Order: sequence, then C-alpha cells, then structure tokens
Amino acid sequence: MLEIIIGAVCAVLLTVFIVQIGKARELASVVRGDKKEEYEVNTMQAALGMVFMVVFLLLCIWSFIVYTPTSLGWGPNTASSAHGSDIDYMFNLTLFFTAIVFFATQYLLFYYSWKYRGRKGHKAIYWAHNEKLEMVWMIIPAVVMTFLVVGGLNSWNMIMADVNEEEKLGEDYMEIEAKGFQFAWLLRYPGRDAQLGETDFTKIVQGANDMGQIWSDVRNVDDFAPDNIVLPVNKKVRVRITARDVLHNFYIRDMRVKMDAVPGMPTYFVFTPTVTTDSIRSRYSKYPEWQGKDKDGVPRYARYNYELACAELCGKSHFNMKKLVMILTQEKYEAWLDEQEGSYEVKVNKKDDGSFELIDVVGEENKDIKEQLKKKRRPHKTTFYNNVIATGNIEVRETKEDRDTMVYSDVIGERLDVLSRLILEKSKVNALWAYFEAGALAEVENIRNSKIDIRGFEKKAIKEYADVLKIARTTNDLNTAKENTNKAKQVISVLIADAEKLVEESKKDKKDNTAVAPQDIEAPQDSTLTSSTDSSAVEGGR
Amino acid sequence: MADINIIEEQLHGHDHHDDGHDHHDDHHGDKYQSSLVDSYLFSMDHKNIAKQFLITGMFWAVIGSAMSILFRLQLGFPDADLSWLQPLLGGWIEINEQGQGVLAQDFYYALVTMHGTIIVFFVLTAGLSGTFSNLLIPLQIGARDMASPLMNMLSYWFFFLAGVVLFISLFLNTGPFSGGWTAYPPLSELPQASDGSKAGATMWLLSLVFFVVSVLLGGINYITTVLNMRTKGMSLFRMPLTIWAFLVTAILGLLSFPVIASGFFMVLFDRSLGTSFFLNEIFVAGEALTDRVGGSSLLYQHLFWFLGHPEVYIIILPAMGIVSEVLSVHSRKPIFGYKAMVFSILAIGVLSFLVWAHHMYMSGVNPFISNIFVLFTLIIAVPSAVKVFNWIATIWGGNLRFNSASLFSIGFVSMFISGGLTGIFLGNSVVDIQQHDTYFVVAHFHVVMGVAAFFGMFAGVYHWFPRMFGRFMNETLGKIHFWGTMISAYLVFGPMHYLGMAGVPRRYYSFEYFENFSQFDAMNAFITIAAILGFLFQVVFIVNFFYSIYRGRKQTDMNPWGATTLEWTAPINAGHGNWPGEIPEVHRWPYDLSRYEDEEFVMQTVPLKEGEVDGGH
Ligand code: HEM
Ligand SMILES: [Cu+2]
Ligand SMILES: [Cu+2]
Repeated sequence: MLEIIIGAVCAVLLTVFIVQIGKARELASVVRGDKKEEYEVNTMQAALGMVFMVVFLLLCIWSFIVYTPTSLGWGPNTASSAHGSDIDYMFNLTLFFTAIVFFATQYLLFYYSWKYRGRKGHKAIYWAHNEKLEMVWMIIPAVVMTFLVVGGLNSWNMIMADVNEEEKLGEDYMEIEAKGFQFAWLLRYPGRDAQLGETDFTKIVQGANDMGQIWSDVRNVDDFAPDNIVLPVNKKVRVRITARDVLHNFYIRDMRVKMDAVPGMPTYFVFTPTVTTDSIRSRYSKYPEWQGKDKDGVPRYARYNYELACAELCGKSHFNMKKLVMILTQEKYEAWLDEQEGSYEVKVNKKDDGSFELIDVVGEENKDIKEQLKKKRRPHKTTFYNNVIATGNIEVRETKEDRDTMVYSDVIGERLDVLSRLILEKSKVNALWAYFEAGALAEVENIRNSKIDIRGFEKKAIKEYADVLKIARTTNDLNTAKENTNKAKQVISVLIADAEKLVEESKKDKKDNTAVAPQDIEAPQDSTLTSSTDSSAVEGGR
Repeated sequence: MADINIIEEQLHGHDHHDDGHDHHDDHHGDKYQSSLVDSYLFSMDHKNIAKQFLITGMFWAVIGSAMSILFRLQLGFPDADLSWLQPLLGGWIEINEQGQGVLAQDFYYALVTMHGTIIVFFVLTAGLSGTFSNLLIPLQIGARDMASPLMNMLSYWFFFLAGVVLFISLFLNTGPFSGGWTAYPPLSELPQASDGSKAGATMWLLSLVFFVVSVLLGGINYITTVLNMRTKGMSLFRMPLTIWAFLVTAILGLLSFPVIASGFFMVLFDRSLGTSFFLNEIFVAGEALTDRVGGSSLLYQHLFWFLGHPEVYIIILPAMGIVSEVLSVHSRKPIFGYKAMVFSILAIGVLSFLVWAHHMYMSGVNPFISNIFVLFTLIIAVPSAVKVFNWIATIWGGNLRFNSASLFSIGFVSMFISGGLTGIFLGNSVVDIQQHDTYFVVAHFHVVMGVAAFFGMFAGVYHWFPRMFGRFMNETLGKIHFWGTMISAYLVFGPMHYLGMAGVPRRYYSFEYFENFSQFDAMNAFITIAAILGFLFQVVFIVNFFYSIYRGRKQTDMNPWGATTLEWTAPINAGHGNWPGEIPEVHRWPYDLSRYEDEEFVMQTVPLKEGEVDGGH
C-alpha cells in the first residue's frame, strides 16, 4: 500500500514538473514574439542536430574500433571453418559499402537541415523533381546490390551444397547427427562402419534409446553418443540436424554454422573445421582481455572452447543448451575414437562362451557388469558388432543402395526396444521377462547362426519356450518372477542342449550334404526396417 | 448506404461545427443516439475513431514498453534483487537460493512474446495505421467520412476485443503465450512443451484472429474510400503521399492478413481438433505423438512470413507517408520526386510479397530457393534507397521549420537509413548464416521498424494534434521528447549491432552459460539503462499529450502550418461530416509550396491560374 502511495505521489510530482518545464518556455515565447522566437529555435535545433550528427558518427567509429576484438572477421572472432571466411568476407564487404552510404547520408541529412534551416530573409526554392538525378541514385544502389547479390549467392550456393555421392563414399568426409530436444543436444557418431543407422521417433525411450535408433538396422549397432562434439581438423563433416520435440537451431558461432532443427525433417550443414581448439586458444592468448586469470589461476584463453548453442526459441531453457565443440588433430581424434563405445554395445554383451547377455541399461543391478564390460572392451576393438559379422548374420555390401537397404535381421534388437519400453513403464516384472526373453532368443539365434538348417528345431524350441513363458508369466511379484525365470531358463537350457546335439549330428551329415541354403539364414530381401517387430516374425520370417 | 444517410442527416441537422471551444458538442442530428455514447464510445465519426485508435495504441505502447523494461532488467542486471516487483508480478518473480527475487524463465519469454505482439500489432499497426488512415483519408481526399462508418467502428471494436483477450491472458495461471511473436509451431501447439503454450496460446491466437478481422474491416474501408470517395478534382496523382501510403498499406493488409489468419486457424485446429498441419514425428514429455504426423512447421513459417514481411511494410509505409508530408510542409518545399515516391511505394508494395522467405534462410528450406529471395530482397533496397535520397533532397534548398513534428521526421530518416542498411547484410543469405537470430537482427528491425515507425507516429501526432483536438502540443516538451528519444534509441540499439557481430543469439534469458556470449555484461547493463531512460522520455510525451488536450495552446488559425492539403480547410474541431458546407473541390497537386514569389503556398482548393500547369509534372 505504502509503495502505491509513494508511487502515485512521485507520478504526480513528475507530471507537475514536466508541465512546468513546458509552461515556462511557452510563456517566454509569447513574450518575445512569434517569428523571432521561431528562427532562434530553428538555429538552436539545427545546431543541436549538427552536434548530434558529429558525436553520433564519431561514436560509431570509436565503438567499431573498441569492438573489433569480438566482431566477426576482425579480432580473434575470425571464422574457424573453411567456408566461414567467405561469410566474414561478405559481411565486411557489405560493411564497406554500407558504411560509405551511412556516413554520407547521415551527414547530408543533418548538414542540409542545418544549412536550410528557416531564418530571416531565407526562402525555400521550388524544386519538385529532377529525372537525371533520380536515375543516378536509383542506378547506383542497383549496381552495388548486383555486386553483393552475385558475390553472396556464389558463396551461398557453395556453402549450402550437400556432399555429393562420391564424397560420401570417400575417406575425407564424415557424418554425425545432432538432435535437439528440450533442453539439450543429443549427439551421435557413426562408429566404425562410418554410417549412421536409421532412427524412428516411435522407438525413442528416454534414457535407454534417446535418439530412437532402430536396433534392427545394423548400422546403428556401433553408433555412439558422446557428450561433446569432437572433430578432427580439416576433415569435412556433415551434421545431420534433427529435433525431437520443437524447433531448435544448431549454431556454432566460430564455425559460422547455423541451421534449424525441425522435427520430422532432417536438415544438414556441411563444414570443415580448420583451426584446432589448441590453436584457437593460442590465438586468443594474444589478446590482453583474454590473458586475465580466473579463480584457479588459469588464464582465460586456456579455457576457451568452441561452443554449440541453440538459436531458435524452443522454450524456457532455450538459452542453456550448450555443448562443447573440440577440434583435435587427426591422431588425438583417433585416440578419442578408440575410447568410445556404441550405445548398443553397452547394452548387449557377448559372453566369452559365445552366448549373448542383455544388460539392463537403466537399472542399477547390472552396474558392475557394465563397468567390467567397458574395461574389457577398451584395449581391443572386438565388439558385438564384429561378432555378428563373424557369425555371418549380415552381408557386407558395397554399393550405396545396398548399404541403405541393408537390414540387420536380429530379433534381439526388437527385444531391446520392448525391454527399454518396459523399463520405462517401471514394470519390473515384465522387464525381467523381456530381459530373459531376449536372452533366450539370443541363445536360439546363436544356434541358428551356426549355418545349419535348424528350422525344425527352431519351431519346436519357440513353441515350448512360449509355453514356459505363459506359465512363468502368471505372477506380478518380482521374486516369483525371478524364480520362474530360473525355471524357464532350465527348460531353455535343455532345449539348447537338444539343439547342440542336433548341430553335432548335422555336422556329421554335412559330409554327405554340404548344401546349406543361404536364403535360410539371410534377411528376406524385401524386409523393411520395422516389419519384424512382433515375435511372429521369428517363426515365419526365415 | 444507411450510414451515408446518417451522415447526411447529421450534416443537415446542424451547421455550426466551427465553435472551437466545445468538443463535447452533442448536437448530432440523430435523435436515437445519446450524446456521450454516440460521440465517444460507439462513434462512427472517422475522427473520433482515429482518436480511439491512437489512445488505445498509446495504452498498449506503455504496457508493451514497460514489459521490455522488465526483461531488460533481467538481461542488464541478472544479479539484481527484483523482489520489490513481487507485489505487481507475484509468482513470476521467483526467489532463488540466495533469497533474491529473479524473473522466472517462463515469464521472461512470456514478456518477450507479449512485447513483440503488442508493439508490432497493437501499437505500430493499429495505433499507427488505424489512427492516421482514419484521421487523414477522409479529410485529405475530401470525403465526409469513410465508405462505411459502421465497419470502421467495428474495426476499432474488434481491435479493442483483441486487446481485451490478450490482456486477460496476462492473468492466466499458466501465464500468457511465450513462444515468440512469430508463434512457430510445434512450440506454439504443444501444451506439454511450454506453459505458455497452454491456455495462453489459445488466447493469443484468438486475440490475433480478432485483430485480423479488425485489420480487414479497416482495410476494405480505406481502399474503398480512397478509390471511390475522392472529391472533385482529386485525381490519384493529386493525392498527398500520406494517402498513397495508406492505400498501399491497406492493400497489403488485405492480401496478407487472411493468409496468416488461415495459419492461426490451422494452429488452433492442431491444438484442439487433433489435426497435424504443422506437426510431424514429435516425441515430447516422454511420449511419441504417433498419430500426429505428416505436417510441417515450415508450412506455418511460410504462411507467417507471407504476412510477416508485408506486415513490416504495413507498419512502415504509413510512417513514410506521414514523414513525406511533414518534411515537405515544414521545409516549405514540395516533396522531391513525388512520382518517384509514389512508384517506390507501389514497388515496395509489390516486392514485399516476394521476399518473405528471407526470414527462413536458415529454417531448412531448400537452399536453392533462397537464391530467388536474396535477389528480390536486395531489389527492395533500391526503392527504399530512392525514398531516403528523396527525403534528403526535400530538405535541400528548403526553409526548414524546426518543431517536434519535423524533428521526428528527420529522426525517422536517420533511423530508416541506419536500419535499412543493416537489412542489406541480412538480406544476403550468406551473411545471414551468421547473423540470423542474433542481436544483429534485433538491432536491425528495432531501428528500421520499431523506432522509425514510432518516430513517424510521433511526427504525425505533433503535426496533426491541432487537427484532432483543436490545440497544440507543447513544443518545448516535444523537443525534449525528441532529443531524449533519439539519443536513447541509438544508445539502446546501436550497441546491439556489436552483440550481433559477436554472434550473441537473441531470445536468451541469460548469457552466463556461454563463454562466447558472456563477455558483454557491461554493455547489457548500459543498454538497459538507456532503455529505462528512453522509457522515461515517453512519460514526457504522455503528459504533454493529455495535458495539451485540455490545456494546450488553442488553435486559432485554420491552417497553422501553411499546408496545402484539404484537412486544413475544414473548420477547427469540425463535427461529423467534416465540412459544414460543400466539400471543397481540388484543382492542383498537394505540393505547391514556395512555388510563387508572392504566395508561400497555394492550397489544393485554389483553381489553376490562366496558363498555369499543375505541379509535379
Ligand atoms: C532495406 C531493406 C531491408 C532488407 C534487405 C531487410 C532484410 C531483412 C532480413 C533478411 C531479415 C531476416 C533476418 C533474420 O531473421 O535472420 C529481416 C528481419 C526483419 N526485418 Fe528487415 N529488411 C529490410 C527492411 C526492413 C524494414 C523497412 C522493416 C520494417 C519496417 C524491416 C523489419 C524487419 C523485421 C521486423 C525483422 C525481424 C523479424 C523477426 O525475426 O522477428 N526490415 N530483415
Ligand atoms: Cu532453443
Ligand atoms: Cu522481411
């Protein structure tokens, strides 16, 4: 209440004050007579205009000099990418032309206002138009514009061109994906096959499959999701830019990279970083304002980083979507690569005895296994993916079309989707079942992969397996579920033993009949990425 | 027809409007209407409707600018304690761990959104074009009123309704809409994605649909009136540039607003009927919207900017018209290159429909398409440049009378130069890669559109204040207002260019998370102080405005500025119908200023002398 009263009183006082200023001058003007007063005012105001113009233009020059260290193309803020210097160049070329026009017109505007101010004995001339003059000042801007358009579009079309097919197959190009969501960026690297797998937004599971990778696409298997963008210097990179929920914008200031991320419509930006993080730091070290030390005694330039930001309003934390961008030398980059694991790889493990194990990526139970796995993998590159290739479950094809249609017909992938979804639903019992189911199926798959015709066995196994499931699933209690799981596991192990026997026998038969129908173990040619989502595909598909 | 009859009736009902004292005069001939409601609330007199637009626009300008001060506080002084604002803003001020009051993130974005919407639509469209088209079209072309005074009144009331709806949305529990004045989907469509996209967005859309109706009702009227109701002798090329500007503005509005109305409806359908015009493959709040596929956010952006770019010219063209008129009158010289001015208005009008995608260079449209839009965008700079040169040439050789109106016109030209030039950077798609959605854009459009259009509006208010209220505004205060505004406007938006050149993105609640953007604390504080200063100078204007309505120096001379146009032939405080007697006839173009030794100006109503050629040819 008090605030309101004080506010109101202040407002009234201010109003009275303003009115009084106005009144005082108005009275004076009446006393001194109209015309003379008018001329004095004209001179005064025109002079003010001149002063304003001079100060204004000087301030423009001064401030430009002051801000060169942060202005693009001048200080350390010069582009760190191959195409970026074109942008800086066009900016400053435009600045050159516009600065001339700016200074000339602002000067003339205020100077003429001064020169032709109304005063005693002065008269305006009647000058309504002048075609020649008007042509001149239409043509000059038109010519300058042409100049800028031609230069600008030339660079634009070069910068925005997508990588061509040849480059795509070559060594000097890589693709990564950045997916914006509220409120961060998800990053994805292609892994050793140099290819990003397909994604599908319906497969997204927060925490377990953030990007919605389709696990049945083999290219996904080794894709990994680092925390920050790490790129080798001087290598062309195409960023596949996607969004999960609303619009975002992939913006790296120093790279002069900016492109909207649109849900359901992947966009891209192709650029080549030319300055490593180390070099940019030493560039900054030459500027005094970057030499100051922070509270740990580290000079500011030594902490300088390229940064990925969001440049399209996406909600309340739009301003807080940072990722670091590290540009490394080729060797350092490769060292970093070796440390990365595909997200699939940390979820599915092939044990030493050759069987598969599915790791609950969210739950705490398997923390140790996950850690062990990481350690085990680091020194050598053998991974699930390589194992799969070794078992011959996929074909490695060379042409581009083939690669695009290449499908990894693995039931485990599908199970994994189910698993992650169940974990999300917090249905532990069901998750346990899915987990078991995937493990069991993986075993079956493993046997199947021994390149023999085990169709008969498979059908039998799956039928029995389904029966076991039916019984075992009749509980909602976690402990009973675990018990049942173990029972079921025993049934399965019997089945597996049977199968192994079968395998042995067929190996003997092999001597007589070496013909193994290859179509039996390959994915159907026309299978699409999502055609085998239900378990019936297991029965009928192959 | 009925409306015209009413006017005729009113005209014959009384014939002494020129009583200069009493603008409460209620002797309107229509016996069914009570005086107060008739002449002020539901008035059909274009002059009163103009005042309604102006004062409502001013109301919104105060609200809109006050909002900008609030979010500037956050940017300039992020560590300041704002708990003193709690009585006003309540829960929008959050108390952080240090016990300090800070602006909530949601609310920051709501403020930015409301500020943009209010200033662009309510102030600079309705408040500017609504005010001056209404005031000047009938008066300057010699008509008793608009073609349909009823529609004209409805136009105001739809605007009013739009305002009411938006105002109410400020008090929603989940807050007003916060997805930016451009309201891009999916953000504007997904209540899960943002609190502002809950009821706030629905009300925002509703408000703007009402607003579109208002613009269309007004626009149809302006066009019809200009084309059909000009007085005898008022050929198109004898119309003052103000009228040309209002005409083209109305045409642009009529062609572009329906497009965005359709866009708004589609957003509404997506929000409430489950359609997917602008939605595709969305996973939000832990859920994949599997049945909302096949739409495209880009479609909305096309629809929006197909309005949005013409809209910026809808805002600036009336200001250009006003400035042309004011500069010419106060320079005591014809506007230089009248025909060139007309043709550049027309060229801008046509071209403004061919450049919309320059707002979308980085939106994911096919980069090849951008080539065409770069071309047209930089072509549009040519007529804009022509206008600037012509204004300067108008001053050249003049006998410039410095008052608030002419000062604001000069200020307008200065602003339009500064802001137009930065458009040339942004129009070149290759430069826009870096500058898009940075403070460079903010600086560009505030200078070229925001400040310049405000300046045009101020020039118009100071110039035609006597025409509206029969009194003058205080000149001293006007000049204080001008210099204060001019200086603080440059101090606010000048530095933003450097922020943009450093790549600092717009619509950031805080810069502290980025090394690249966080080096400008001092500059941001400076900008905020300048903005507060600029806001305070507007108080001077508001006090001056309302004080002068009642106490300002009385207008005694029917044509105080020595102008040639028809609005100054109507009596001071003219009533409904404008001219008590016959409508004046026009014999010459509107710019016979300083043409003859003996007469400083010749009004449009003066017949051509023997052998005299009409000017402007
Ligand atoms: C000289 C001619 C002009 C050119 C070449 C030009 C160019 C541009 C371009 C390319 C953009 C998009 C920038 C971006 O978002 O990255 C833009 C933004 C804008 N321009 Fe201009 N412009 C010109 C004049 C004007 C005028 C006269 C006005 C208004 C009166 C205006 C108002 C705006 C507004 C409001 C925006 C920003 C909209 C937003 O993103 O919120 N421009 N201009
Ligand atoms: Cu964002
Ligand atoms: Cu535009």
